[in-house]
Amino acid sequence: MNQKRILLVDDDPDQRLTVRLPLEAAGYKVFEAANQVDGQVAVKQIRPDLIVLDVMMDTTTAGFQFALSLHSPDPNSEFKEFCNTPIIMLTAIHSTTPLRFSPDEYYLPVQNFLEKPVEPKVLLDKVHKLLGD
Amino acid sequence: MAESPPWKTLNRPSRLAPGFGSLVEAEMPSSVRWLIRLRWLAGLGVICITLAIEPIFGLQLAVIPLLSIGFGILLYNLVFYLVERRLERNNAPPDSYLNLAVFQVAMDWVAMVLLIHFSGGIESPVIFFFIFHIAIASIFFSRPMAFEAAILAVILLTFIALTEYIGILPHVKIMGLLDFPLYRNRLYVAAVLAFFSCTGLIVTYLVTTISEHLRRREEEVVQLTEGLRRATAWMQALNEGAQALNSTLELPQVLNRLVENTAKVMGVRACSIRMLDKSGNHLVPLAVYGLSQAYLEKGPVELDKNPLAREVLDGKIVNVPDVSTSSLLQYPEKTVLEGISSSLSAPLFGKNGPLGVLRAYSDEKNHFTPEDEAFLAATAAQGSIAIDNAIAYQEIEDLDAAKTAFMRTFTHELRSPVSVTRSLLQTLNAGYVGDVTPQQRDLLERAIRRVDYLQKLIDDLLDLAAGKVYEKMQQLDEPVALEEVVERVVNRFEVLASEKALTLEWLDEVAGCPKMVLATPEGLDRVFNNLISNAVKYTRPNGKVTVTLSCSGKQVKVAVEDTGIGIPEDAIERLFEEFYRAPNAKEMEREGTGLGLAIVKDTVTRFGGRVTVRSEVGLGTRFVVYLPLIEELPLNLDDIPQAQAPASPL
Repeated sequence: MNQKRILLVDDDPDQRLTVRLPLEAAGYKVFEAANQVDGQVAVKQIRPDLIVLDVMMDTTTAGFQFALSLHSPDPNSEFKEFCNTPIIMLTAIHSTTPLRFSPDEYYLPVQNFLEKPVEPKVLLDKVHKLLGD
Repeated sequence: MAESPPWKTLNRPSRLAPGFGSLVEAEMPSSVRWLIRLRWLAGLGVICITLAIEPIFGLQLAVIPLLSIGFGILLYNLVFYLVERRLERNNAPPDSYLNLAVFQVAMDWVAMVLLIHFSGGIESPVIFFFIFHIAIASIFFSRPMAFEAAILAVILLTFIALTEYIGILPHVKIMGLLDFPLYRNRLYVAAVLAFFSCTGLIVTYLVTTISEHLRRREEEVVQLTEGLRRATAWMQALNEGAQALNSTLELPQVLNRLVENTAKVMGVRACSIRMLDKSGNHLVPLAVYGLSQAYLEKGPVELDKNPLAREVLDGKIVNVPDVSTSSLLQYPEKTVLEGISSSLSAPLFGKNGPLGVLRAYSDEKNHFTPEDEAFLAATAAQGSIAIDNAIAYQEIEDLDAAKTAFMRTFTHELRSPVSVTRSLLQTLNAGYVGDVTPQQRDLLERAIRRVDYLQKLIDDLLDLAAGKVYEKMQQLDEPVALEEVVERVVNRFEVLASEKALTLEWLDEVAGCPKMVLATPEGLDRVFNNLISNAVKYTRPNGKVTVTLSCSGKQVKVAVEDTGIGIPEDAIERLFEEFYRAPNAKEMEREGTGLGLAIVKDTVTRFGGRVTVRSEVGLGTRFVVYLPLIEELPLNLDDIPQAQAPASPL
């Protein structure tokens, strides 16, 4: 069976571990990147089927910027071929900062948000659904 | 005559705003015009009388010279008229009118002398007219000049009388007036000249005395008017300053208005505010009006090299009447180069000591008076308050921004370790890294419960703190459809309710029209999340939780009702206190922060609403949230078919 590939982009190694373990247990091949820049390099090398992304990395909105660049509607975008790669965004700031994050399709073409702490079962359900497994 | 102007000059106030001449100056053009109008009549009079006298009185005159004089008067009056018109068109300065007046009087003198000569010399009845001219000259000229003019008239008349007496000048006789010519009668000539001299001098004395009196009065009026005008302007400036102070707390705006107003009201070239920087040794320009960029960039204003700044910051008002000779300045040459001749400085003092210097600059030496000093001091006092307020406001804003930034960092820093810990435990517990024994699982689950509690506590504390921060930022509120938020929260609890075998009912009595309230979706979500979560938590299996939305007038009402354990009466009054939990709630659920209802009350209050609670132990609890609608619902509520009878209150 061709293993599906998932890229984790998160600056917190513990957080990466908590996402990685259930995904690997479910039979996915998991890759990691610790920041936006590494993530962008890794995307091209790994060509993942799905990306799990933390909102707050080097800056409070680094995750959003990464998602925006990846899903840019610009036909000349360097990430053009990944514009349909699903993204799950991990967020801990949904309700307590003045920044309003909501999956507004015009603002952010991100399919799924997942509130921290990540519930392994919920994460797996989402991943299965997005990858059609 | 050359050194002092012939005009009776007033000690004119030197600082007149444009368009604000003294009363005398304002009068001058109209006086000149008046003289010109009068002269038309005089010229015509000479012509008419010359022509009329012969047929009426049968006298023979020197008609041609007299008519020539009449036309001559009209002719030179025409020239004066045209000149006056041109002066008026060009908005000429008062001095030009003054010169015109001198010329006119001189021409009239000549015309008068000729008229007397050709109408009989010393015998002429026209001599009396000379008195008019002397009177007019006395009105227009200063007293010495008026006397000079009167004496000149006497000399001219004496000259005519004597030359005619001796026979150098031919005597022009009016045929038929006198039977015996008198111009050779020594006694008569002497008497006429003596009386004429006396009359002329007395008239000059009387008229100059009276007009000097009037002039002095006028001068007083002008000074009073000017004083009043300045007082009004000062009041206005101070008033505007007070308004600026109230209407805007943006520091640059406040200061720029202050310096501009001060310069304009004081009628000076420029005004500036320099503030002490953090080093306490430099004065930095913050607001400037009327100074060149080059002057501002002349170099740093350093206290240890600038005695003037030191004196001012010691609390003195310092008047530098002549910058070119003052030893107080740090950059005297550059100040002179800028065209500044005198300056006046007042200290700006805040609550915590000296703030800076307010300075007015004039291009005249010795410009500033004690009144100016008082005014600048008052302005500086007012400016100090404005600056103090603006600084305080800025500090609050900075603090607010810092608080928000802190909240954001706190959210991340505090929440993420807890949430990662929980995920790690959960991963372990779920067996992704190997089998877990029942005892291990028990320990893990206990740990997860404690972490959950910690997580909830942090979230609640942050919510509460965030609410308090937002309270100051009302503008974040937006119109929100209440029923959408409530429905979303109810749906969130459906799974949990069914797991507990609870009936969870949602009822919108006014379905079909949006219930818009001014709030934040997150705030409302938190309110109903807390209420419904409590209801589900404290209701035993097979119980019922009902959420009902209804409207009355401009108010929307959401009731969250359960058939749970209820709240003891003595606990109800402490229910909304932070960290308070009712004893029976603690018994049923060990974990709980006691913050949920405090957040509910805080948030609802912030949105302009209120919360009520009714409860009976063992039967259930009913919380009702009232919120103001943005607009009254357009429909008559009776017209809406009710889906079901409203849930009955306890």
